Amino acid sequence: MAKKPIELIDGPALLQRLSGVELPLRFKLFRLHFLLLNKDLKLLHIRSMSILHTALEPLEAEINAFEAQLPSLREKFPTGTYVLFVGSEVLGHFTSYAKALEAGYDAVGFERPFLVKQVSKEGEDVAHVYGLQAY
Amino acid sequence: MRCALIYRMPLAQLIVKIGPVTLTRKEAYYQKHQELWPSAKPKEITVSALIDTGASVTIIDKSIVDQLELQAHGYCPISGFDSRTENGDGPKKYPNYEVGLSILDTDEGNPLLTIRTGQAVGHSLSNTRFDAIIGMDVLHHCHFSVRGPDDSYELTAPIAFVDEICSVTPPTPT
Repeated sequence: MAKKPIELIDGPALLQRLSGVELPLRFKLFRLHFLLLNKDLKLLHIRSMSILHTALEPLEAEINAFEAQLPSLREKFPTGTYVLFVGSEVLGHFTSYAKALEAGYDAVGFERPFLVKQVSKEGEDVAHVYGLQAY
Repeated sequence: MRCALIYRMPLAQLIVKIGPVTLTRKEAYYQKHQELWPSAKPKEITVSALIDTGASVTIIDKSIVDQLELQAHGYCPISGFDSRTENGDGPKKYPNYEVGLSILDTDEGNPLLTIRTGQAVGHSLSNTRFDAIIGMDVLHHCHFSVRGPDDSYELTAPIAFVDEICSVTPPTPT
């Protein structure tokens, strides 16, 4: 039997192709695809998407909703409040990270992704890490 | 504790654990399905970590994320390292994970500081000398000084147990 050639597709295209597959399986397949590419073809450059980016893929809707609503969240809640998003909906606000996570797991368990994010002051929401490239 | 600098770097032993909220839920999941926790799945990993006052957040290597099977429930925009987006604007977003952390006292072998729950950024550090970076979110609870002429550093924690660390900069006192 003739060996089927390995098809090279990039990250977004692969995600699109796997869109009908259940979420946990989808990400396992996605990672396996790139591990095989790296091992067999020495393809180290993956266009436009790193494997780590995939960790945030399931949270895309929540991240977009959080960023869109951040100005109003800043008006509603004190700095440091944890907000819980499932999809584009705010499910609650909490004084601690642990309480927000508990509520997230209560709401959707391991079935769906959820986002817990603190409301920050404008200009204080970016972290800084310097010097890593020197090592 | 007082330790020698290694390769001129302040390195410490750090235990990275599955965060307590996630761990409780995972254990309940196995119990519900009448299964034992798989022996191959660790609940915590001890790694070498760089104490970095130039990092505002704590970072763990992607291999730790994989071994503990952590799932992102948040993200952190970071500037200053590997941080350009594909189109070059704004800081890049990195996933963060619920973890517990303990810095080990190398003299005593006990935890010097334990953080019950907090958030750590997951990223490939690609470094052979450390697998995590202890950032200012953790160092906020420590006294840290470098004794350059002695090639050593000193790290102490006034309170040995912290329930939760905060990733957002605390409000500036007026």
